[in-house]
Amino acid sequence: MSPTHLFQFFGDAFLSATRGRLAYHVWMGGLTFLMLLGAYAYSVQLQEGLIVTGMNDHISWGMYISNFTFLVGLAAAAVMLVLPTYILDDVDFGGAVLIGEGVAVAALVMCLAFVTVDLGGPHRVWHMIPKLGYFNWPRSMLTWDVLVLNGYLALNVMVPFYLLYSRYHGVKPDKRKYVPFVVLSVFWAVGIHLVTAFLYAGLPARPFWHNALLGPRFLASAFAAGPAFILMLLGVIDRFTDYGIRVVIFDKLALIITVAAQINLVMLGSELFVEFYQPTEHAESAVYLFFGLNGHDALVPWIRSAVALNLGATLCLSIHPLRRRRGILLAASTLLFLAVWIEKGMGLVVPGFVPGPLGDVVDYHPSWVEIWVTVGIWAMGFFILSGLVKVAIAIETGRMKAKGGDQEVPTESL
Amino acid sequence: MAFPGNRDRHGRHLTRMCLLSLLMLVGCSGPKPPHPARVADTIAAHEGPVQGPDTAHLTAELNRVRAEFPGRLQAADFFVETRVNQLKQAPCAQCHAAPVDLDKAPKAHWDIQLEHAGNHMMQCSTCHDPGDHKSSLIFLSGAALSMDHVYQQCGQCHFEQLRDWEGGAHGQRVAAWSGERVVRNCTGCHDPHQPAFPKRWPVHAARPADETLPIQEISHPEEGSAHD
Amino acid sequence: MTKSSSIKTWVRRLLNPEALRYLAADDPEGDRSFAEGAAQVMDKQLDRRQALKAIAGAGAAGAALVQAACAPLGGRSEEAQHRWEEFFKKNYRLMTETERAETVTRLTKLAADDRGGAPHIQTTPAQPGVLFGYAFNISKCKGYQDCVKACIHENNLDRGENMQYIRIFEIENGQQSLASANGSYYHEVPADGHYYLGTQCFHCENPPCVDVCPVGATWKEEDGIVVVDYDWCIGCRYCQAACPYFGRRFNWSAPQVPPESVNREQHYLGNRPRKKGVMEKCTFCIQRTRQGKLPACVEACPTGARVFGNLLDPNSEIRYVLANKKVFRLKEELGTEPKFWYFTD
Ligand code: SF4
Ligand code: SF4
Repeated sequence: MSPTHLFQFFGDAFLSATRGRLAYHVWMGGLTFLMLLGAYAYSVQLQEGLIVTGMNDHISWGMYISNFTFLVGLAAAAVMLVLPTYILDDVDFGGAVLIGEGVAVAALVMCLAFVTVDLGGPHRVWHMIPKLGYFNWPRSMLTWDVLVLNGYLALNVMVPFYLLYSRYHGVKPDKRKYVPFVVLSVFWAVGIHLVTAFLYAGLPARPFWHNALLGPRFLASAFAAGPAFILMLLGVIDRFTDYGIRVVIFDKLALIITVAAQINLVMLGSELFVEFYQPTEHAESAVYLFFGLNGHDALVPWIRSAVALNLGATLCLSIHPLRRRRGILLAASTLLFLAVWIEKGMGLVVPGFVPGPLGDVVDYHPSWVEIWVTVGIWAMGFFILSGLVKVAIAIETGRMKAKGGDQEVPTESL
Repeated sequence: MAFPGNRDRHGRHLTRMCLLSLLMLVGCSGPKPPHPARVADTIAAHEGPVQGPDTAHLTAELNRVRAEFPGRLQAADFFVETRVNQLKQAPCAQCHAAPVDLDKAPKAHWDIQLEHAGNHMMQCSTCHDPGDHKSSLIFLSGAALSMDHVYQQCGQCHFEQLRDWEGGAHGQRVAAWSGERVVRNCTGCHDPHQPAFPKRWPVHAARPADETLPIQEISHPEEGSAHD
Repeated sequence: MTKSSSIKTWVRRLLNPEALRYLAADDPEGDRSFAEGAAQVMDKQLDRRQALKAIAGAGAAGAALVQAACAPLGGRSEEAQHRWEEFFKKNYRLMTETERAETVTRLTKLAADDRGGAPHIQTTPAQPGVLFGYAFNISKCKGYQDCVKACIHENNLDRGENMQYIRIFEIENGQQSLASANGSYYHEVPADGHYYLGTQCFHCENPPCVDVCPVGATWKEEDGIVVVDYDWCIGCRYCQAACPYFGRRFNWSAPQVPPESVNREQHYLGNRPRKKGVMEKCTFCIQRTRQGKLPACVEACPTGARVFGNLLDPNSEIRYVLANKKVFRLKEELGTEPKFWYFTD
């Protein structure tokens, strides 16, 4: 990997990412526009302070942290593809796994962005750098989260980069070089999600979160929503690019999604039972979420539709003939994705704050600034994802390769 | 989560994963059962002679007198704010030379409304001596008492409060938490003629928790107004 | 401490999970390790400066430019430099005495520019043998809120957002849960058939808010006061989520305090002006209590419902309350051990 080679690689990658059909340009242009809108909204927030969001002392985390939590799950879900492909030698996933890792990278960048926009003093984050500042590790779960997220990002950049770079040069990637990292990333993926769950579960102040099932439920819902998103993405790729995705990949992903969604439902049921069979004061958050409390019911329509979507999608996926139909599969995945987004985003973060520790019941309504910043960050995620996927496909299909490289690399080596 | 053809290998990895997380958990909690430190233990371990900050300058200006408890050999180790120097109409002898007829309407004391445990129990003469005005205050026994030590008089009935006041659970300390202990007299907070605290409006209006004011609606009232 | 030995200590600490738990800055052990870390940082003063410069290379150049451009204005350039140094100062706990003095001087100058009058900013440390405790008499409180008002003025609380550290709850007789209480009543008090209960930060002995802070911007002092370094907080609001008593307040916007009513007797960890995007909370009026004075709320209470004192002094009033009255604390089951007790007559 001499500097000139790297330079050439990135040059080619840049060219590949910036060239495409009109639809691609329109898509990327649209995303850029949304990103600019988001940036403007963020500049307003920087100017005025977080007062322009819907958050307050009672509900001190809102849409940003909700999205952050959800996206950690999305990132972790890449492991569902990595695990079988790299470790279990299940080569069926070969093509899809790079996409999955692209999703992880985009999701992680979005996670970091969401945490940053949520900060009251983003210009002071250098206080977290050990030695320069003070890194309260291992006491603060947030420092754990910073570590694991950045580590996972590094892993998910490194491995695909190595694979693609090898392929670009027509060299067979050396298993000894990347498999250890793959194994590590599998544990790491579980780690990032558990640590993020512990961020909440470690707060006895909030009974709604202080619950051992939170971590496992995070994992189950992530392993449903993440692959669901990848499946949607593969559907799009299969449809709009010349990079064919084999049917067996769809089938296996669908199976993963189905099982994870079923487990998630079991856990949801178990949680609902504990909360509502003998409702205690600690169940009030759940009451607020599902029924409303003291006339405050901002979340009720959301969570009810999430549960309905969840049930419907899981049912669709559980019935084999339905799941085998590509259209229904994609629709069910989309619904599931949305359901988990609501359930694990706003449906998890906000009720933790309601009722407050002193019994205050306050509704949370995201402000337009918040919504636009959120949209902007999602647009950024899609922008990154599109670019990464475009380059990956270009390399995979052999369209982008180093001049004079050997093309005879079997796909199985991935 | 079944991957056809890979069942047992997958199973092995799962076991390893579980083991690892178990190890992680054990590592975090340590060998001893964790339990929160108790304030009581901290106090027991560290209590002792006090080296609080110097507060002599804070209490120096206060008009105070050492508290006394009749019948006790030792003087109390704290002070009460004096009362006599704050009163205009005391001692009684400065106006009254002759005994006062309590049936007549009180002229100079027209503003005093007695609302203290009902008139059949408490009258002017329960605490004051309208006879010879040797002293402004008297015990139930008729013995004289200085206004500065009014807590002794109140404590005849309110002995529980007196006990708490002496210890510090009732009443209010003045100026400093360390150094010389100076406390308010009973009459420093209570109007002896109407000892119950009156109904009134709070001096501050809390912003309702579930009300998010748009920025422009927040007003900046003047200092000292009721809605501060 | 040499480099290799410090690494050894570090590794040993890592290998010993028992010690891991005591990395806390609030217990003496932890303080020592913190201080050692500080000593190391101090030894490498130069490296730190260089690193900072490297990190903010572009910014530094920019600031230098600004400084050069403003040089003819004299005062301005000095102000820019102060702001610059303020931005790169350390966590208060890591500062040496000299550094503390320097930052206080800077802050005083800057504040004088901002608000037309120089504050007096103390850095009075905790006194040995002192552990502050508080008791609140729920039979005495009448809901007048004089304490709230006094606190707002004493601590320069944001008038724009109507921030208050203390909350007084009106609870119906026969009830105990705060969920049924009214925390924002405004009518004649005391209302018949109700009693009143005040809350604020309880200065927990095991404060969860301190554990969760990713940058160590909040900690428990030796005398038990839980404080925030306003210039170190990054505004993540994790501590707010972790506090079981709603003890923390965030500056959602730039706080507004009319210049004429700014309390200029300040403490670095207490009532000095905050900025937008940082956390703040009750400090038991650290600027007063470390001088021996009573907190503003205690002094303002017209009914004597508030008792404050040194828990380590067996003769203190607070100890009398603990020993002789029936006391309780909120949510004791959480193990936070608040140093704030409620009692009845
Ligand atoms: S009451 Fe809340 S803010 Fe105060 S020390 Fe306890 S946890 Fe921290
Ligand atoms: S808001 Fe500030 S004090 Fe609170 S946890 Fe975050 S950085 Fe620490």
